[in-house]
Amino acid sequence: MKAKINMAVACGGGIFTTTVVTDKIKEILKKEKIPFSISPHKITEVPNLEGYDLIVVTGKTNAQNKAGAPVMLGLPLFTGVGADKFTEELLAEVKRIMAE
Amino acid sequence: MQILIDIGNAVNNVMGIFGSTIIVPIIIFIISMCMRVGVKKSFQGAIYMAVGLTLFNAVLGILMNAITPYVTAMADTVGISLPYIDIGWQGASVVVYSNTLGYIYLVLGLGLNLLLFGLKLVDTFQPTDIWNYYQFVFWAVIVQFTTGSFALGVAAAVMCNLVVLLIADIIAPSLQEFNGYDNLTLTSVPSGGAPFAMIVRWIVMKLKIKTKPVSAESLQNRFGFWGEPLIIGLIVGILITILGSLTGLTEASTWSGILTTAITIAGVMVIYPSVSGLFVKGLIPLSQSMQARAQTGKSNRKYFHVAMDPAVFFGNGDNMAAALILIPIVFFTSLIMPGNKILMLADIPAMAFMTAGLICVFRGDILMTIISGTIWFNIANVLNSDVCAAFTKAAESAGVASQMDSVANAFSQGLGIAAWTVGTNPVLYLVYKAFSAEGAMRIIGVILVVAVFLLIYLSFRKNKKKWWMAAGASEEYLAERGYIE
Repeated sequence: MKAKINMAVACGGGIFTTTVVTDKIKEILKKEKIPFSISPHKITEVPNLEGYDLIVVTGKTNAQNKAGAPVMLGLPLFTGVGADKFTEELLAEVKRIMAE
Repeated sequence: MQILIDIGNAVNNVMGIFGSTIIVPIIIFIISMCMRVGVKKSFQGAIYMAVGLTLFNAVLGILMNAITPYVTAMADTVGISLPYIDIGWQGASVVVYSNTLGYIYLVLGLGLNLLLFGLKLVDTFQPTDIWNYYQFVFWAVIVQFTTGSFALGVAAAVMCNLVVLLIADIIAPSLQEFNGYDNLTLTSVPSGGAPFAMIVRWIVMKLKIKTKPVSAESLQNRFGFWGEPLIIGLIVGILITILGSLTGLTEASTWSGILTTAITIAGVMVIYPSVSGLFVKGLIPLSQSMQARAQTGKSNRKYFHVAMDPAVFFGNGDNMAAALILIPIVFFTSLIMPGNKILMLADIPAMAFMTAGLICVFRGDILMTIISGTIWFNIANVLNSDVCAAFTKAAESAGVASQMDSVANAFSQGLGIAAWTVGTNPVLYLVYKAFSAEGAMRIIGVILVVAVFLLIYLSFRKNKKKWWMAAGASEEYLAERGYIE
C-alpha cells in the first residue's frame, strides 16, 4: 500500500499543455481524496525520470520510462474530447498503483 | 478603427505610469471576465501573469548582464557578430502580449476566427489555440514598429491570420494521419515550414530521389543530450565566452569569467521555462474556456479541424530524432551563416516544435526533414535578423528594457533580442515586408500578397484533395476519414 501517488506530467516544453493537464489531474485526485504529488517535465526527460509511480504525457510518444513507471496519454484532459473515459482509466491506474 | 487607436493610446498612457507588469495582467483579467471565465480563475491567472512578467524581467536581466561583454568581444576579436540574443518564444509572447496590438488582437482575432469558421470559409477552428495568437501577431507588431502605424499593424495581423488558417486547412489531414490524431491541426509557428517542405517534396518526387529510412530510436539515444536545456546552456555558454575572450586565455581570471558565465547561462536556461510558465498561466483560463465552448455547436459540418498547441505533436519518435540532430547542425551553421545576427539560445530546446510542421509532409522521413530543415532554418535566421531591431524596439516600448539596468545597458551597446522559433517564419516575413514597404512599393506589395493568397486559397477550395496530398496525406486516409468521397 502506498500513502501517496507520485506523478509526473510531461509535454514538449513542460509549460502550456502540462499546466492545463496538471490542473485537471489535481482536480480529479482532490475530488477522490487521493493524496498526491505532481511535477511538470518535458517529454525528452521521460525515459530517464526516476521516483515516479505514474507519468502522464500530453502528446503521443514512443518514449518508455526506464525506471518502469507506466506512461499514459493525457491528451483528452487537454482537448476535453474523451475526458470522462480518460478520468476513469486514470483513477483505475492510480488505485491499482496505490494498492501495490 | 479610430476607437481602437484611442483605447490603445489611453492604455499606453496608463502603462507609462504603472508599467506593463501591472497593466497587462489587469487587461487580461478584464478580457477573461468578458469571456465569462469566472472571477476567481481570472484573478488567479492575472496574478500569476504579473509575477511571471516580473520574474521574466529579472531573469532576462541576469542573462544580459552575463552575456553582454562576451557577445561584444566576440564581434570585435573573431568577427562573429551575433548581437541579437535569442530569448525564446516565451520572450516573444511577453513582448507581443505587452503591446496594445497583442491584447487587442486577442479579441479581434477571436471575432475573425468565429466569423470565418461560421461562414465555412475555413475549416479550422482556431479559438482553441488562442494562446498562440502571439506567434503571428509578432509580425504585425513588427509592422507597427517599423511603420509607426497601428492601423497597418492590425491589417497585417488579419493578413497573417488568414495565411495561418489557410496553411492549417491544407496540412490538417497530413498532420492527423502522421501523428494519429483525429480532427487536430496546427495554427502556431511550426506550420510555417510546411509550405517549404511541400515544395521540397514536390521536387524530390519529380526527380524520383529515394532516401534511406533511419531508425529513430538509436538517434534519440545518441543525441538525447542536445534536448536538455542545462547542457545546451553550458555548451553555448562555454563556446560564446571562449570566443569572446580569445586574447586572454592564458590568465586564470579569464577562465574564472568563462566558467561562471557559462554556469549562469546554464542556470538561466534551466529556470527560464518555470518563469515563463507563470506568465502562461495568465492566459490558460481564457484559452480553456474557449476550448470548452468549442465542443458544442459544430455538428452541422462534414469535417472540421481543431487548432491545437504544438506540444501535442512534439513527442513523436521520428520528430524528436530529427530535431535532436538538427539542433547542433542549425546552431553551428548559424554561427557562420552570412547575414545571421541571432545568437540561438533559449529556443534551442524548442527545435522539435519546429520540425513538427516539416516531418508530417515528408511522412516521417527523418533524413529529408534534417536536410530541408537545415536549409529552411538558416534562410529563416537571415530573414529573422532583419526584424530583430524592431522586435527589440517593441520590447522597450512594452517596458521590458526599462525594468532592469543590465538590459537597458545591453540595448544601449547595440545588443538586442530575438525569438528564434517565432521569427522563423519566412512566409509571414513576406507579409511583413509588403505591409512595411515604402510608398508605392507598399501598395504593390500588399496587392501582390493578397493576390497570391487568393490564388492559392481558391485553388485549394476547388481541389482540396490535390493540396492535401501534396502536404503528405494519403488517398486512403482521406477516404477513410470522409474528407473525400
